[in-house]
Amino acid sequence: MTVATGPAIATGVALTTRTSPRVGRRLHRVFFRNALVTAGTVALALVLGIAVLGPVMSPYDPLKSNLRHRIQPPSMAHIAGTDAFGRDVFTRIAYGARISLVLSLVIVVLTTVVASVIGVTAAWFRRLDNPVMRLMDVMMSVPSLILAIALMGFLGARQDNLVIAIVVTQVPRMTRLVRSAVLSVRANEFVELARALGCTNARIMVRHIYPHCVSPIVVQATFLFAQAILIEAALSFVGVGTPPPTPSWGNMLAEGREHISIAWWLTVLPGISIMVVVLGLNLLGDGLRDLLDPRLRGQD
Amino acid sequence: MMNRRTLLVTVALTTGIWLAGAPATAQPRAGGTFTFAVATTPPTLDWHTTGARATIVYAGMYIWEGLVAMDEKFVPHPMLAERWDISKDGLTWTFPLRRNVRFHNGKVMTAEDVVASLNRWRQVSARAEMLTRIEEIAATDRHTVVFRLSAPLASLPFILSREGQQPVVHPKEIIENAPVNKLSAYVGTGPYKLVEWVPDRHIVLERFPQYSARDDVRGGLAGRKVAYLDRIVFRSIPESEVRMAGLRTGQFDAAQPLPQEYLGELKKVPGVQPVIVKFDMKPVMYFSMDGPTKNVKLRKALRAALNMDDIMYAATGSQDFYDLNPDQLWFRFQALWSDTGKEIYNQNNAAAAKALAKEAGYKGEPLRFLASATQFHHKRPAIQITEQLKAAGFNVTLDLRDWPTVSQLQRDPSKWDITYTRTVVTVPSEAELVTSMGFKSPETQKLLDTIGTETDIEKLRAAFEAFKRDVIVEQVPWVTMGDMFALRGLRSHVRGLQPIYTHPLWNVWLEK
Amino acid sequence: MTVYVVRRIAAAAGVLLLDVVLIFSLIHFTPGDPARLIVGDERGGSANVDKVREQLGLNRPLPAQFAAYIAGLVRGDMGRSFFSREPVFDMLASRVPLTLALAIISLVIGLAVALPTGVLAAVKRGSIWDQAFMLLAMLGVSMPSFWFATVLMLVFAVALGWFPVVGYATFTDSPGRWLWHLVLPATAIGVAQAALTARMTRASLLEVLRLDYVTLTARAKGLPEWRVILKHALANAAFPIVTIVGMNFAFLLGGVVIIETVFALPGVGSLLINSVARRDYHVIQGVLLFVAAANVMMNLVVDLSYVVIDKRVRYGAAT
Repeated sequence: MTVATGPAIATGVALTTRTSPRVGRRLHRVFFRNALVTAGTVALALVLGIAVLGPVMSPYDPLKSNLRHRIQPPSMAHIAGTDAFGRDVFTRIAYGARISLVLSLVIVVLTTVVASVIGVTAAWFRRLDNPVMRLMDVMMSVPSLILAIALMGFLGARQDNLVIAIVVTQVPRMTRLVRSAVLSVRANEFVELARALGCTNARIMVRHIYPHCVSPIVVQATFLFAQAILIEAALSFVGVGTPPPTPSWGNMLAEGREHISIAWWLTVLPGISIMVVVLGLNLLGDGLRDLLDPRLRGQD
Repeated sequence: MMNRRTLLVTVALTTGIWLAGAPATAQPRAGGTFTFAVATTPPTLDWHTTGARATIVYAGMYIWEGLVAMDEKFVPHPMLAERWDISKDGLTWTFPLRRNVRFHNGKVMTAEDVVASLNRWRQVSARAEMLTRIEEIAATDRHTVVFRLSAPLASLPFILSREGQQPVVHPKEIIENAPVNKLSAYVGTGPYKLVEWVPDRHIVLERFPQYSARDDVRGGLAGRKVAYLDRIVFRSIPESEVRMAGLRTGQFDAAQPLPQEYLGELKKVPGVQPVIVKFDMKPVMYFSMDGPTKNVKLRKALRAALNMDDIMYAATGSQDFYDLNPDQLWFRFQALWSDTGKEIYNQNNAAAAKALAKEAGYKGEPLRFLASATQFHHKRPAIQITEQLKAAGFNVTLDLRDWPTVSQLQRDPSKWDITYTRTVVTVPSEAELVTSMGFKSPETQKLLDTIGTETDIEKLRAAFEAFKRDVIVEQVPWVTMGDMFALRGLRSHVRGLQPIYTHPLWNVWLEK
Repeated sequence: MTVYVVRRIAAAAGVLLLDVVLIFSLIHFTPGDPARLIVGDERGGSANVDKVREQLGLNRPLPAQFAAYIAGLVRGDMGRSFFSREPVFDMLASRVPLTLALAIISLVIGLAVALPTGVLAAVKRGSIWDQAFMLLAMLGVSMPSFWFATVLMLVFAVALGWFPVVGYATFTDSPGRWLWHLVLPATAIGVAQAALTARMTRASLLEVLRLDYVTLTARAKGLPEWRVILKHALANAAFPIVTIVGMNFAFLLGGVVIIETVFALPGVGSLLINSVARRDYHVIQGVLLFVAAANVMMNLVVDLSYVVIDKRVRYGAAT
């Protein structure tokens, strides 16, 4: 969704080869010369730290209610306040981090794998291209909201159905991206060269084409990771997100919005958590693009 | 004849609800537009076919009237009828109509309109199934309607004035010019006429200048209705935070429902007053008669584990918003209220629950608790109940779905073991709800038969006491959590609004 | 190429047809019964539910219902709402203008913010401005829209009182009031849009600036630096920006759904949410069909523009 989707960019794809010794230098450049990437990495590390350590360190149960302490502002006992059940918000954010991050990770991995297979196939086997892409159009035209309501209703309100609903609506977008990236790489002379040298279709695809498409895919994947958190929040808004009482950042935000003017901490803290992760991922995504983009190689 | 009238008054209820009358000094002022921010939009405007609260309180009760109307104590009073007379054998009810009552289209209402409307109602409403004892409804002259019955039906005025699917009166030609399930126009005799209904946006009502008001002053939907407001606008605002925001800025004159937690905040906002609506609903937990909960001992075990104080507190967030009322049927101010069964209410006894579960042979079979994630009065108590039952050793999984899914799955008791809903019992005959979730017993049937025909209040009370002891306490068809109140926010220039859930806007005016 | 275009349009029609089938089955297999919701909170009235089902034609077998629906579509009849009895086409017609206006205003707000910041960030690449703008842009994408919308409302409508909390005026009644009511919701949608577009602008401008022929030729002509950037570089970068904006249209509609609900605006998005909550089958189908058609059109336009602009991807010639 960000770069290298349009042909104008594709014209910039240079014919380069891999030179591994320089990766270390580029890594150095990417991570330490660019303050933003560093910030992003630190932010993500922080959230991961909270997700791993928070539940261990916190004396509270993320699910058990404590009604006499409901909706209390942050204090020494509850550093992020309590929610409408008197549950400790910090503990729930920490547990929610696990839920939200794992959910997004699963969505991203599934989407990327499925979309890569479909996209590369469609771009390479021209006869399949049209039917496959039209099928993607059909899938893309059903909003994930509707699909989630349908699946959660039909199959049951469980997290795996939520994953399916989001993946199904995200695969077409990713597929379009993979396909257009493959198409523009395919037009390069080195592909012809590889073919002339007797490489098989599969080998050309795996060794020569796909690596050149990794950059936009990685960037899109980081974007999707962030997006999945936001989609889950939007689905919680209409009541089909992660089923309560399990905390996810999305459903904490959706539940907290009922009290936004009397208890700011219920939405601000999950909101900040989401922002930090999304921000960190995007910064990291940019860094990864610089690292992986063949066009930027040899520029240091 | 007279003693039946008195009976109805006795059946009805002495109430804790007061009429929010204006101070004696205040003079009502005509004029102005009243904007009421509400959460939902009516599913239809055809009152004959629906019991949806939104249809009734945001449109129906302003546009239409029935022969009889109920006051806030659930006493039926004549509305379009002058009065009613009952023959000695109880088989003929005569309703003389008020003269010169006009429809919004200018036509004068006659007995023909009433008969056509009631006959349509009998066709389209399932409520009318209760009226198998009605043989004929006929107009004996231009201003008299007669009901001929095959057996006495003491609750007829209740049935005619009950809010859900009320048999209100439409002009004859509007019914006859359309298929039976459709109305060709929304025309009634009420104090306000419909200007516009845009689903999910608003309902606009305008004062009907030729409305003929009654003289008797009552509460609820009965008695004298004076339309002081020029216009009434019900705005559908699904987000409670937005209803609150508009109330703050004065864009809305009233907002309901608001989350009960807003009470403290409402008290602080200048120009706004909070109203606690004490008569709103009773949250109820039902058991499936299909799975493990078919075993009455298990139902008793589940009941023993519940701590109602915590459940109601979780639901409302404040002790100002609930009453731990042990009566599983009635609100405290209703005539048939009693504390029979208080020993089984709010037991909060995990040990007893475990003992009963053991006795029931419960070995940790999963119990599915079906509730709605989109109805805010469902989700929080459901989470609390699940937690309590788990703590008492029950393997309960909470299944939260959106409301349409819940309402459909509830019809199929194999899809859930425990479910959640709310009730407002407005008429004695509503005890029929017992049977609706699949629970059947000879006692229940006997009770239902008694209610229809019993004319003696003490015998009726005795029947209900027996029902509470033998059915509710012993067989546990449901568990009522208590009485739950609602929060309404009102701009302080509003006068005369009753603190009941129907919040009628006639007799209401805006101070300068 | 004509062959390709014709085939592509035919395929789009096929996609729409499949969409109709998919949408119909999806909706009818989702639990929930409109008849029960019409009858209301009545537990005793199962007989009434059956009556209503019969009136709505829901007691017929699914294939028969589908055939009736398709037959209606062929005649240009999208059915009626189960609830208000209004024809679905009229409901859409009355709500599309608002949604479109909301989408366009938020697009304008988005572009107005995104283009200057994107250009500036690209030109001053690596500077503090670049980093600050891109940080802000990322903050913009990382806020859940319903939360941001509520915050906007609390600040600008409640605390400051500059805008109305909710409401809507039609353009024909008063253009000023119309815009005044749409500013907050459009901003809530536009910010995420702006953030995406700013990043896109920066990225593609950087690409173009790196292609020496653009800048060198222009500079060789002795044009001032800002003209080089605006006229030559940005013109070359416009295509991917437009593509992204087009592809994000569906994304935009998704945002509209939530924002319309928050601000209680009577658009297509809130119609969808409310109809789903009521299981108003014909209306849901109508809205989804509209969205699907808009999507298919957008994809068609994007694909065809690839053919026109990028000669290297020869679609028609290959087959």
